[in-house]
Formats: sequence, structure tokens, C-alpha cells
Amino acid sequence: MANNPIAPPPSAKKRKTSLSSIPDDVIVNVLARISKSHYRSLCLVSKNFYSLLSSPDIYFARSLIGTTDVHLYVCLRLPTPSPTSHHHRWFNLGYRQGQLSLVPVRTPSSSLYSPDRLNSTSVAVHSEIYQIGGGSNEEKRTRAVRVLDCRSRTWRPAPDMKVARKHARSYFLDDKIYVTGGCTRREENWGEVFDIKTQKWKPLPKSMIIGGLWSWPPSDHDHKGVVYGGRLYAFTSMNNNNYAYDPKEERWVQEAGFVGLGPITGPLCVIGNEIFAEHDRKYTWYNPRNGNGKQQVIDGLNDVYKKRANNYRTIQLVNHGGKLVIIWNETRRKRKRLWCAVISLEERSTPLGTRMRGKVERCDLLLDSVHKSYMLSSCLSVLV
Amino acid sequence: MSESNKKISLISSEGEAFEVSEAVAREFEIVAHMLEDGCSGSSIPITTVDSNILGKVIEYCTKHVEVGNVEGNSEKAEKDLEEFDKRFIAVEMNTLFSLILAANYLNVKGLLNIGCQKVADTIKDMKPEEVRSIFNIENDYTPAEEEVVRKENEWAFQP
Repeated sequence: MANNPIAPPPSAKKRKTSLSSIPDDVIVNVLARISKSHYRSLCLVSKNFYSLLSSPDIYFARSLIGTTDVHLYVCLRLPTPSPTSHHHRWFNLGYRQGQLSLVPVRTPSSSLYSPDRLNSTSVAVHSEIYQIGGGSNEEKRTRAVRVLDCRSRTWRPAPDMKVARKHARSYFLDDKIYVTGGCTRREENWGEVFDIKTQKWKPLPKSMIIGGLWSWPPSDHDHKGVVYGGRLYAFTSMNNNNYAYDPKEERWVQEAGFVGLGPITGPLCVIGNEIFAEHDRKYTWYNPRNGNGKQQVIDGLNDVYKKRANNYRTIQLVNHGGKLVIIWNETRRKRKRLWCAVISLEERSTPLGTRMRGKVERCDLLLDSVHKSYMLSSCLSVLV
Repeated sequence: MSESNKKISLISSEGEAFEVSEAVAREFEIVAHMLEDGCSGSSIPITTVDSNILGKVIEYCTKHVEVGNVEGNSEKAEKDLEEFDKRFIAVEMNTLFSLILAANYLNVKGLLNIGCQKVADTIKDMKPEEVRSIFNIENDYTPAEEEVVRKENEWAFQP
């Protein structure tokens, strides 16, 4: 070889020894660490990649490594042939034929307890969805809790709450589910907490704040909450003081320097340290612990605004693995359209302060011209 | 503690000897198994790994053994180790793959994991042709086959 006048370049030689011999189990180890959303493209690398990505090995490796993907679960209320009844159906937000679409979540027929309860509240807990309480107007409220395991796609019951609720609110924080409202204000347990580990409900302590600052408990249409920085914040429109429930101290504390949700009227979500909301027909952000709490417009969303009809209504903002998902609907006569935009965010420092730039990754119609009784009842980002 | 003072020589593919403590050598699961099987020789040939890579793998294992031995492992030590890992695998692709192959062969789990994670992070946003060049593999699809796979997968692997 030393006499060979055309010696291969050193790097090419090195490559040959190190790279042509990568065993399949190492390739699987690498691929199992990548989000499944990249698999479509990775399949095109070679026939071997395709076969590895389609093999059960990769799923086994993913479960060993603990790789999870975020999935968006959407619950729709659909009309039934009877004009007064409805039923619920869960969908996955998928990507088909180049656009976002709703893919029905198929539960095995053996799955029990598929609940069809109106006015329940749902919350994502790791790879599961807890559907809590509910009941239609005629029906009584229920204490029942049902869980959808998004891995096995099966329903199972969880322990009943202490109080029957409908239209309650639920939050997940520190391996506990917090449920508030949805019952009469005189009820003993206006809020209660479910510990995932012990599988037990216990009452949420009452606010200790006295002196009439905090009307307790707040009425359902008048309170909202947000999980932020390891605490649950509760607000009423009457009073924008900063009351936070600290799960470690297990009590309500008054926190200075936190700008409340008072000015926010519509849906909101937390991504990182920022709260995202809608203000004056624009999507905005602010950091409640930083600055004056003024909502700033997210840059770069013109494509979304252009697609929106005048009579739109934003129904949900969701933190989907760090991306902002916006869902809105438009009603025209008796028909309804449902839209979804997926936005990746980038914070930039400028001489004029921090700006938030949004890149519209997708903006698609999910439901076109359906009957206006279609309703989105829940939209959750789940780790599966 | 006398056992951990015992020295073992690991011999690279070029025949170079690396003297390490038994605790470090045991980080190579393959060596640990040999020792447990009663193979008590003080020098162990690692014929498939060259001196450069073997030296690096030993460096990795030595650091991890050292930190593991610190009493009451503090958060700071954990952080330092994380930083060390990060720097350790910040190498060019050929070296990274050599390290992964050595870790795979010697069964050094921690190193294999951080190496594979690094490759995964590097290739996840790449185009198929870029991934091919990283893995040094040929495109064995005909254009027609490629089109079929592309179409089929519109439906598979939902995000």
C-alpha cells in the first residue's frame, strides 16, 4: 500500500475503518433517542434504516431509554342524531398528506369505562389523561374520575372525588392533581387534591388570607388559575392579588412581584417562564415575575392573522413541547370551522428589550364546515 | 480497599499497555466479566481498540470512578461530571463513532449512552443525504422505491 501512488486521503481511510462497520444495535440505540416525528425522513436514508425503524427493536429500545414524544390530544363534543344529546370523542393531532388533521384515538373494544360525560374537566398527567367529574345540565354532577392511558389507549377508573363537580378546573403540579370549583360555593371542599402516588383525594386547604381581600371560595365563572414556577396561582376578576398555593408548604401564600392574570380574558398557557395569551386580537406574551407585566405582541404571526376570519374566537392555547399551539374557530350561519396553528418560539434580545419571535410551522383547517354544535372540549399535550 | 489498588494492564490493538486500577478496568463490563470468570491475569488485550481511543475510554472511566468514590456525592460533583461528559464527546464525528464502537465492544454503558445521544442530537434535523454521509452509507433505494417509501410514510410515524 505504501507504494500506491494514489493513496486515499487520510480522512477517507479513517472513515472506512470507523464507520462502515457500525452494528445495527448501535444504530438502533441512536435512532431510539430521536423523536418519531423525524422517522419519516430518516426512513429515506437507506433500506437498512427503514427496516430498523419499522422493527419492534426500536420500540423496545425507546422504552428502555425512556424516549417520549409529545402528542396533542383533542376532545371534541359531537352531535348525535338526537338533537339534545352529544357525545365526546378523543382525537390525536396528526400530520397527514402534508397537513395537520384529527386522527381518532381508537380504544380497544375491551376497554371499559369509556366515559361520555359532558362538562368534565381533563388534565394531562405524564402519559395519561384524567377526565374528572362532569354531568349534563339535566344530569346530576358526578364524583367519578376516569383515566385514559395514552400508551395502551385504554380507560380505567380512578378513585372518586369527595365532591361531585361539573365545569370544574383541574391542574397538574408536583405529581398531584388540583381540582377547584364546579360545585356550590357553600360546599365544604371547594378544592381538592389527588396524590398520584397514594391515589388519595384530600381537601385543598382554604385560603388563610383574611380581611375581605379574598372572597372565598370564588365563583366558577369568576376564577382562573395557572401553574407557574412550581405553584398554583388563583385569581378572581374582583381581586387581582397574588395568591399562590405552594404544594410543599401545603398552604396559600401571598406573593409579591407576580403580575396576575387580571387583564387576560381568554385562554392562556405557560411556556418556560412566559405566559401566552390573546390581547386585542393579537397573541401576546409576558413574564409575570419580570417587568410591568405588560403583554407584548409575538412577532411573525401575520400568516395566522391573515387566515383568521373576522368572527373568529380563540378557544385554546397549549404548550406543546415548548411550541405554542393555537386553536380557534369561526362560526358562519349554522356552520363551524376549526383551525390550528403550531408555532415555534424564539426569544431575542434587541436594543429595545426582549422580543418574542414566532415561526408559524403549520396553520391548517382541522374541521371544515361542521354543524355549529361541534365543540372542542379539551386539548392536552401528553407525553407518550 | 486493597483490591482497588490492584493494577491491570489493558493492551491496545497496537500492543501498547495502559496500566489502570482494577476499579477503572471494571468499568469495562467486558473486563469485569473476565475478572469474575476467574481470568486473573494482570494484562488484558483489547485487540479491536487502538491506543488513541483506548486512552480516551480510560480517561472517561477514570473520571467516573473518581467522582463515584467521593463521599456524599454532592450536586456540584454531578454537575462537574455532566460538564466533563459534554466536553468529552465534543469531538469530530469519526472519533465519536470510534468511541461509540469501543464503548459498545467494551460495554461501557455510560459512554455508549452519551455517544449515541450526541449522534442522535446531531442527525435529527438532517436531510437523508446528510445522514448518509455521517454514517458513510450508500443510498440503496432506486428513485422509484424512494418514492414509494416517501408515499407510504405520509401515514406512518405520526408526530
